[in-house]
Amino acid sequence: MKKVTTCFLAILFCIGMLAVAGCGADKPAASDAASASGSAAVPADIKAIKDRGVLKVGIKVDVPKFGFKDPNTGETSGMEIDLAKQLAQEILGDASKVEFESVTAKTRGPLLDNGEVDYVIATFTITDERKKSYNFTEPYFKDGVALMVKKASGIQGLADLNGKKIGVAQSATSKKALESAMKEKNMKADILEFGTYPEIKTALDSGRIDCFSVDGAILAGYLDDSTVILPERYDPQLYGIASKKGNDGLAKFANDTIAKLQSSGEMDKIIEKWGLK
Amino acid sequence: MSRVIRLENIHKSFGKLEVLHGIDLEVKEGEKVVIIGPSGSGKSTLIRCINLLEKPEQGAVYVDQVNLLSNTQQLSRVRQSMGMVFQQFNLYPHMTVLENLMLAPMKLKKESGEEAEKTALVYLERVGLQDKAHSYPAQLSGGQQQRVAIARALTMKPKIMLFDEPTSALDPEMIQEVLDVMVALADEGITMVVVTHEMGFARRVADRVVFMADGKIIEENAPEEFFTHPQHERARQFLSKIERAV
Amino acid sequence: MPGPFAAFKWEALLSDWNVFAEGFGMTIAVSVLALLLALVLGIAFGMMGTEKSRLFRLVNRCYVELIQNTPLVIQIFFLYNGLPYIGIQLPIFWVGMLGIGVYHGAYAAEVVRAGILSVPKGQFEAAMAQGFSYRDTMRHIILPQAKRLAYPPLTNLAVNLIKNTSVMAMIAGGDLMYHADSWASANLYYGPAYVVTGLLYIAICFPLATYAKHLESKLEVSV
Repeated sequence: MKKVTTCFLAILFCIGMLAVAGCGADKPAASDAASASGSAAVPADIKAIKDRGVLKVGIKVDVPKFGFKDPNTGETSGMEIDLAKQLAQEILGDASKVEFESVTAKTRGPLLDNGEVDYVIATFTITDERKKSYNFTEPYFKDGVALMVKKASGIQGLADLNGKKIGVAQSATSKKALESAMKEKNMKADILEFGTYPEIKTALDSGRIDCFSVDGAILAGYLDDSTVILPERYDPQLYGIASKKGNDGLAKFANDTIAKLQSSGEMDKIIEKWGLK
Repeated sequence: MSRVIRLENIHKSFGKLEVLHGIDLEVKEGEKVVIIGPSGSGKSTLIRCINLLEKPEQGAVYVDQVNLLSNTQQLSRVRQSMGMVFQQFNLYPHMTVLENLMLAPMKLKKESGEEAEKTALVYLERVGLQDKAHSYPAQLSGGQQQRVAIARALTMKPKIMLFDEPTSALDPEMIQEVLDVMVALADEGITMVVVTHEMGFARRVADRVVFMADGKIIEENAPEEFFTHPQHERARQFLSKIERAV
Repeated sequence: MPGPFAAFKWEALLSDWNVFAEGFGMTIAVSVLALLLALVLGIAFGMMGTEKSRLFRLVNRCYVELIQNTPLVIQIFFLYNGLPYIGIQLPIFWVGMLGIGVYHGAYAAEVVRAGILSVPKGQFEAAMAQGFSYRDTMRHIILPQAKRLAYPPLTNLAVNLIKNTSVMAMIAGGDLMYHADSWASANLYYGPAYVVTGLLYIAICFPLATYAKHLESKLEVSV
């Protein structure tokens, strides 16, 4: 019994150390960034990328038109890929100097934290809660949560989904959006979260869920003959480019780039190119 | 006296090897039959055919006038009336000696625990092991285990006892204690079929000696006759080898 | 810069403790029922595997090989998304319990089969000679002996079973892993979420595993 107790204490101790390390890292990193920007030279975080010669960006590979890897060609493309290339062009002067890492809802946070990627551009919705952990740019895209149902179901809108099952993606903010919308309508549906979009589509096809609900533009990539996307939109979702807190040079740089693209009309061109308007 | 065991034309094979080539054997009530013969002669297989631990491919097995091969629903009842003692004792290792003795009477005869315990203690006393009632088999010597096995068989109050080489796995100094129990049992008049290499026991106890070789019964006779005037060459060879060994 | 284990993330977890408690309850409920199912299947199919009858042994082999040689994830996915196409829509709890129970039942069957085969043939013969039926022989003489040998591996199997309930997260099963994923991916406070989730799994698995080791050492002494 004594052994067991010791073992548990050891584990608890390790966790405690991690927690302390996490908090402790706070201050020095912040002051580094401050001194870097104060001296008006190239910020340390940007300089590190220049030295490395390549920009590392986390992207989605399963969201057509945003970040999608074509299983036939192996090519990754989408508006977020274009944005990443723009950033590489701005920092390194070469749009091809970018290394993509595919992320999921579950991995994008840890990959930023451990420095595996510099930016995450992956249909990442900006929320106040998330802003506590990461820097977000101003939004580069705005979309509402939409509903996809089977044509045969005859469902016309959220109101028809009372008592039914709605599948959403983990970490997508659609759950919150739907919950508040349903509260207004005084109705209730089961909201089930899945790890990936294809899993949700499979569950819709097999009849496990009655509705597939994520951001409208994402949903469009999964539309087929048997399904329809309803016109309703809920809670506009704002996508931003995320970077690690402390890498304030990177955050400012990305924000400036977004602003530049928007004022020059370049951003609209990209959005139009991918048929997202 | 009535015949309690009758085997007719028993054939038994293991795979392609036929080990019994048409055996006929009868045992009368109260008779002691000792089966001897060289190893591999089929004597163990034969005794195991009596309670159908081995199922013959051909022939008939009658016990108490019941044809066991065609009356399988009676098999359990008939087996309950025949105790069997094995070379390897086969006590149930997860039970105490007392539990070993009580299991069958309680489960098969639906005796109460009290009743079964009383019977068990009587038979344990007869084999001289009353003080081992609460031991586990692994705590006993081989000779003691075999005496418990005999007591276990007796608690079902069988009419027939089958012994399949009961002393072959024992250290020499333990053989006698088991044989003593068997001799005492024989004196009570129970029907016994014994496969053994103990010629002294055969002489002392047997009403009839059955000599087997190569899956056949070669010779059957009263022990005095058999041991002093064996009729067949195979039997003479066998006896001469045994004498030399002794 | 707030790290993955920043204090405010722990606070958020504490205030949402009921999310984890709900998942933990579900995980335990599914584990217990799936374990019972696995044991029943294990004993039934394990016994078939020791039968003389070819048909029974064939049934045993088919079950064991089919289940052991396909990933649990696929079996669960089939129950969840495959069966509805033939009109069977099992509730999610049943999918978890059946899928996980049947999967580990195949492993339990092998443990039980090995346990029965380890009992010397003489034990069957002694019981048969006494007049016990096959069923009573199994019940009173063989299975109690097989159990001693099967216990430690079965306890390890229970540990694996509990951990494997986490596949339910994939089909929105409402178990501990699902709630941890859901909570962590919404606010990205994954650090505390997965540490606490891991600890909760340890809290049930570690005592069981220790118990298994204890049983194993006891077995070594008694054999």
